[in-house]
Formats: sequence, structure tokens, C-alpha cells
Amino acid sequence: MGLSTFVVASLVYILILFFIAFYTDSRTVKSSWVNNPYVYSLSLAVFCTAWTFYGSVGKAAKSGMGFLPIYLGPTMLAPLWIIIFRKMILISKAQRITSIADFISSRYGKSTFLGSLVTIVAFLGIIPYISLQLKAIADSFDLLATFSINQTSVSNPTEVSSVFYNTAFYITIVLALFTILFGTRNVDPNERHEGLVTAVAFESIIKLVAFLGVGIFVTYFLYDGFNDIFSKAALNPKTAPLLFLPESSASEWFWLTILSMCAFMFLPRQFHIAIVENINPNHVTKAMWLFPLYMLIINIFVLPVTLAGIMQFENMNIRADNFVLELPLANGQNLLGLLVFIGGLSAATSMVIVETTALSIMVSNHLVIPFLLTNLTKDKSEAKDISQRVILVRRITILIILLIAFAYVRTIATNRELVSIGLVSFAAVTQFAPILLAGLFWKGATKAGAISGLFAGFFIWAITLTVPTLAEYGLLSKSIFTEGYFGVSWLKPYELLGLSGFDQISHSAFWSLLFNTSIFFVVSLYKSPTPSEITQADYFVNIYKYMNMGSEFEVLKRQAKMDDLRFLLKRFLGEDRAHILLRIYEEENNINLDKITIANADVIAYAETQLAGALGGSSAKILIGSVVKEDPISLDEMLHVLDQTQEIIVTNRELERKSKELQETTEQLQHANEQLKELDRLKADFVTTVTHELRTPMTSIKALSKILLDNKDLPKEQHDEFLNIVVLETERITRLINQVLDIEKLQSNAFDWRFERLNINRLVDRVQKGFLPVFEEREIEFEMKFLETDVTIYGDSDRLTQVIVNLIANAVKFTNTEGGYIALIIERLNEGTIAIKVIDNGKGIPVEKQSMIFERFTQIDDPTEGKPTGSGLGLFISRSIVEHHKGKLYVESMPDMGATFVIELPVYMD
Amino acid sequence: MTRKTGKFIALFILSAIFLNYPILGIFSKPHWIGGFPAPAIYLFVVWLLVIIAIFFMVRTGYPLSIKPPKKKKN
Repeated sequence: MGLSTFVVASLVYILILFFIAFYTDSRTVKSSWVNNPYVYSLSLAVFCTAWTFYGSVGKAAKSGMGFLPIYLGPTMLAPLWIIIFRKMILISKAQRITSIADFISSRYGKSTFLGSLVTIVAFLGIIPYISLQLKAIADSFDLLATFSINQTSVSNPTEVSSVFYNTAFYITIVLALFTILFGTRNVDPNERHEGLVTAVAFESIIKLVAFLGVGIFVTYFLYDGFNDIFSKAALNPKTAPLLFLPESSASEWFWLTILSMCAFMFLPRQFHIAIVENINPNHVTKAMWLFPLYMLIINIFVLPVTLAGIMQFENMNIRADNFVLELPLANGQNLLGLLVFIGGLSAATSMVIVETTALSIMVSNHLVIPFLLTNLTKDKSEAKDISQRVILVRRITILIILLIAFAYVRTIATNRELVSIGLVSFAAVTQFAPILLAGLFWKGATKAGAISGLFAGFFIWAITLTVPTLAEYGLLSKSIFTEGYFGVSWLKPYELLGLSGFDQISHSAFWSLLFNTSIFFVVSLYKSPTPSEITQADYFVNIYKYMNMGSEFEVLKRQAKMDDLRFLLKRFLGEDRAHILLRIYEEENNINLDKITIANADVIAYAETQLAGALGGSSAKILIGSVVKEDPISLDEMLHVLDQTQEIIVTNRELERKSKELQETTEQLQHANEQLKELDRLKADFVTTVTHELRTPMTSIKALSKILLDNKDLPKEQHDEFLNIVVLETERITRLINQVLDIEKLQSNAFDWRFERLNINRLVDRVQKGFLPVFEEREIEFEMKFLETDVTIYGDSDRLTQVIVNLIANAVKFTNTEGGYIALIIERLNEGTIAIKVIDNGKGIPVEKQSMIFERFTQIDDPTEGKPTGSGLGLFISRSIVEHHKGKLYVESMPDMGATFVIELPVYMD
Repeated sequence: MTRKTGKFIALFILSAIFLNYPILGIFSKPHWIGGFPAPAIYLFVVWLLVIIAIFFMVRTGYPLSIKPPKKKKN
């Protein structure tokens, strides 16, 4: 099998890739093809590059199981994908994030500078990694070339390398072509390349099959299964130590797992596949176990192949990186060799294709376009579609990246192991971890913090990993290793600040992450964010809150002319696409944009998101900013907005309190209302009763007067009797009316009270004297008992007289007609109270009626004697008067045992 | 943090502990398990267990009610 077979085979393979990608892209119904978790999981396996395919064995030949942490890291991380990836995907879909640079820049207020910085770090960090892939391709060609010349294993491959590096060069060009065709088809706001993803997934299958092929061949055909290899290896002094874990590699192991975790998330190609190309966030759940399983399977045979390689080529100068290809070839398995070669090619090409695509998007969106935009005239006559220019920028970028990588292979990386080159890139992208992860969950992370942290980490990375490489190749004085930078002893690149005992990678990862993280946090805490940062920070951290909202959450209320927006979209996305996008918006929101001259915040946000999908967040922000009139919102205003929110919270609490109070007041009012209703009812009763009471005497007056009028010749006696009755009834009416007026005055507090000091004995004496003729006339036995010493009370003489008169009159009325008895007794109950008792020996008052008699119009009916005379108001008025004197009026009585009315009054004290 | 989220975080911490030193230090001495070097068997078995654990955890229905962000409709 000649070399030409391999060249042809690789070209055929790449053609197959072209076909797959082209077929996928040209399918009209695409969703069902790429839209499944298996393609997603397989495309994630772009993580396994030529480094995995060839380099794992190389690493295992040195440190046994030491190759594993690179795959264990992402496996440990897998349970967290559901937390981290889901959030990142949702944010990216909502904000049309195009790359990791875009993600970080968007998180920190769509900062153009931060986007550029991330791009530069990624670019410098990834170039060695890409060149590693090209080197793997070149090396495998090299190997095949020497092989086909000698038909045996060859010790010194460098003689022919120049020719076959040229082959590798052509492969590079073909790869560039593929990437340009399928990675930069158009400026798509979704930035999705389904053809490319399908091709990558296909390549993942090929490299897995190829590696399993060589693994099975070595384990089961060259040897008699795992046990055979292991037992033979245990006897060989070169391989025996590789079977077990060295005690000392703890820190290296740990840092490799950390680096590989970060690399799996933050390498531009991983971010591109996992986040940007993700079609459905639900695919993540399946990939969570499918992808670790893929890594497990592809690693099963690494150790056996390594051991077999070392034992087989024990005395030959063959690099362990080449064992995978060399083992089948040396054993005459040329077809298997071809498969392995294709597998290595697929591992390398898939990485190169996706990585350069992702990098080209970053470079064009964050380095070139922002620069172009600042020089862009807003002249509308130059309405040429700028999206073509963007695509051109990307294509040139891809070509440049690949050429730089190729140059790197030729000059620097020729003799380094694949793994050590790759780890330098891992360490570079690990610098994104603090600012990205903290940015996802901590709102306080600020742009200033992110920039300074990233700068610090990048700087440490450079002086501990990349600058020393320059020295190793003689571009710098090697004295830095022994004496430190600038001759400062604590600035040795591999022993920074005197820290020794670490391998280079762990050393660099530790210091760079330490400086990166601490500076990031400290600056974030001490430097307050700008308004647009706060907006974006809240959006990223609380994405779930915003998921079903439009642009209503936007603090910045922006306005722009619809024509300007239309112009921008046309210019950067192309006429047709702009038209379609605007139509979609019209459909979704049910409005006609043609009728609108001034676009509102919602339309602007939509346009910005679409532009961001094509050009990245920061470029889109610049573009939109050029046409939008945005009241520049200052920090003060922002704080004002926040203050208002605070006020609203306070007001809410106040409202809550008020409403509680209101509820209480309502209850009180309800209570009062019921009382009022009761009063109203009483008043109505009162009026009815008064009317009734008035009508009775009126009726008799009316009747008697009519008789007198009609019968002029009535006998004188009768005439007089009638007139007498009329006079009596009139008096009754007058009394009633006076009483009603009294009540009215009492209730409205309009009584003209005349309080003065009164001698109680004298007062009562005056009253009883007035009644003496009545008692005599009625033959009532009367007893009077005064206080022995004079006591002064404070009161209204007339009113108190009225009360006592009322009580005595009642007693007269109700005492027995035969043998009537009334007593009037003044007693001193205690130091501060005297009592005036009016006692009769009438028929008494039933206990249940004793409280009623003090109500208005209550009269005690007696079935035997009929309705008593009187209005029924007297006792009510009496009690009111006594109570006004801070006294009490009550009755003590038993049926047929008479009644005792008691007036208690306070004694006047000086 | 929901219960389920807590479980995923716990699995992450556990796998990070069991696939790292000092636990791995146990295997620095030459041990054999069924004809295989002990560290290789241990690492691959733990690896597989993590995969199986994730498989069952996501299978029993993680509440992934993600809808793509929707534009409000008027």
C-alpha cells in the first residue's frame, strides 16, 4: 500500500465530509435530522481531538493512568451541566449569543473591550492547540511516507518531512476550504451550521470506531486479551510502573481535572457546539451520560495499546504518540492502518473545523467589526449589503488562523508532545472560568472586575507557560529559568514567588487562577457597575425571571426611526433576510411596521438581538446605538429607578398597614351603623309612642270641646266637669311635651345645667313640704328621715327636685289606696355617697321589669287596673339627670312588698 | 435550590472526591483485581457508576420545563 493510497483516502474522506455537510444543509426539512440528543452528544465529542487519538497513548507511555484526568474532569462536571449549560443555553438563545467572547462581553454590559480581550486570549491560547492537530496530521503523513519507502518501521522520520509537511499544508488548505464553505455560509442570526455539526458527529463515530479497531486488534490479536497484556507488562521493567498510580502526582492529577472541566465548557469550539449550535436545551440531559460514556469507551484501550507499543518497539526510537498508527502497520495490517489514519484525521479535522469557525466568529465580531463600525460612515447612499463584508472577514480570518497554526507547527512545536501543547490551551481558556461562572450566578460581578481578573490571569499564564517556550527555542535568554525574569530570583517562570515542587501546568494554573479570581472579586466589590451592566447582570443571573417577557423589563427606554432600523438590518443581514425577520416580527406581534415611523423599545430590542446573532452583542450595541436616541441614563437616574423601587416597596408596606387599619375602621363603622340602626328604630318607636300619647288626650279634648260646642244648654255641673277634664288633659299634653323636650335636650346635651353646692337636707325638705297636702288628702302615712349632719352635694337644684318629685308622685300613684305608706329617707352610704330613698308599700315591681321601667315609654301594665296614667318618660328622664350628676338611680322591689327607689349621689368634697 | 438540583451537585462533589487524590493514593501500591491493575479497574468502575447514576437521575424525570423564550403576543 503506497503513500498515494493514503493521500487519496484522506481526500476521499474529506470529500465524504463535504457531501454530508452539503447534504444536511441542502435538506429542506432540517429539524428532524440534527435535532436529536444523539447528534448533539456525538458533536460534543469534538472534545476528543488528535490529542486524544494519538496523544493519550503518548501521555500514558510517560505516566500510566495520568492521561485520564483530561476525561475524568468533564465526567465529574457532567452532573452540573443541567445547572450550568441549561442556564447558558437559555441566555444565549434569548440574547442570540454567538460565541464565548460574546457571552462574556454581553454579561458585562455588552462591553466591546472585554469581548476583544476574550477573543485575544482565546486566539493566542488556541493557536498552539490547532497547530497540534495539524502536527498530528503531518506526523501521520510523515510516518506513512517513511513506512512506504522502507516497508518497515523507520527510526528517523525527519529526512522526508519537508515533502510531507507540504502534504499537510495542502490538507490545511482543504480544511480551510471546508470551514469556509460550511462554517461561514452566511451571516445567520442563529449562527447555526447544521451541515457542519452533522459532519462533526460523523467524525466522532469514525474516530471511535478507528480507535476501538486498533485497541481490539492489539488486545485480542497481538495479545491474548487484557490479562495477557497486563501480566506481560508487569514483568517488563519499562512498563510495570505504568500499571499503578504514582504517589506524587496528586497535584498534577487535581489540576488536570480542573483544567479539563474548564476546557470542556470554555474552549471556543466546545462553547460553540454545546451552547451556540444547541437546538433544544432538553438534549443536554441525554448528553449528560452519553458523552461521558463515549469518553469511557474511547479510553478503554489506551493503556493496553500503550503497554503493547512499549513492549513491541522496545529498542526502537519510536515516539509513543505514534504507537496507535505504528502498531497495525508494523504488524502488516495496512487496512487497519488506513482506518487508524482516517480516524486520526477525523479527530484532527473536526477540531480544526469547529475551532476555526468559532474563532473566526469571535475575531470578526469582536475585533474587526467594532473597528470597522467606528470608521463606518452613516451615509445611506452606500447602502451596499455589509453582510458580505462580514463573511469575507470571517473567511480571511479562518485562512489566517490556519496559516499561523501551520507556521507554528513548522517553527516551534515540532518536537513537543501533543499533550503538553494542548494543556497550554486548556490553561488559557481556564482563565474564563471565574468571570463566566461567577457572572452566571453572582450579580455583583462587574466589568471592571472581569477585565482586571482576566488580564491578571492571562498575564500569569503568559509568563509561566508561553514566554518560557520562547526561551526554550532561543528567542529569549535561557537565564530566566535559573535567575528569573529580569534577574529577579522570585520571578522564575516555573517557580513563581519561590513556589516549587509543582509541574509546569499545575504551577501556572494555580497562580493564574489565584490572581485571576482574587483580583476579579476584589475589583468587582470595590468598583460599582454602570447601568447597562446592571441590566445585563440581572438578565444573566435571573434568566428564568425574564424568560417569558418581551422588552418590557428594559430600563433604557429607547426610540429610533423605523427607517434607520430597517436600513441597519438590510445592510448587515442582507435585504431578503431583513425583510423576512421584520415580517416575522409583524406576525408575532400583530402589527404593521410600515405604518410606524418611530420604533419603540421592543422593536429596537428585536433588531438588536437579530444583529447580535450575526455580529455579536457588542457590535450590535454599537450599531443600534448609532441610530437610537437613548436618553443617556446616568448612574444617578439608575439609582433613582432603584430608589423608586425601594419606595414602592415601602409604599406597599404602608398600604398593607393602611388596609389593615381600614378593615378595623370598617368593622367599627359597621358596629356604629348597627347602633345607629338600633337608635333609629328606637326613635321611630319613640315617635310612634309620643304620637299615641298625644293622641289620647287630644281625642278626649276634641270630643269634650265638641260636646260643649254642640250642646250649649248642658247643665252647668256637667259643663264644668267637661271643662275640668279638658284642662287636665291639656296639662297632661303640656307635661308630655315638656318631657319630650327634656329628653331631646338631654340627648343633645342642650340642657341648661346650673350646678351649685346644695344642702341635701334642705333640698329634700323643700320637696316633701310640697307633697304634705297630697298625703293628707289621700290619707297616706308619710315618714321623713333627714341626715343628722348637713351634707353638701354639687348639683342642679331644679333638676334634682324634678327627680324627687317624680319619684314621690309615682309612689303616691302606686301606693296602696287603703293604708298607703310612703317614706322618704336620706342616708349616708359611705364617706363619698349619700342615698335618697323613696319607699312605698304598693304592689311592687316584678324583678324582670325592674330594669325596663327606666326605659322610655315603659309602663307597667296591670291587667286588673288597666293602663296607668303618665307618659312613661319620667323615670327615663330622672335616671338621665341622676347619671348626669355622676349618681345612680335604681329600684329595689319585690311583688306585693312595695318598692324602694334609690337615688345615689356623690358627696361634694372641697 | 430544588431537591433534584441538590442531588446533581452532590453527585458532582462525590465523583470529584472519588476520582481524585488522596483516595487514589490507595492505589500507589501494586494491587491486582481479577488480572487487572487495581487503579485501572477502580477508575473505570467509578467512572461507569457516575454515568449510570446520571442516567437514572435524568431518566426519572428532571423537571426540564424549558420553553424557548417567547415573545409576548399582543
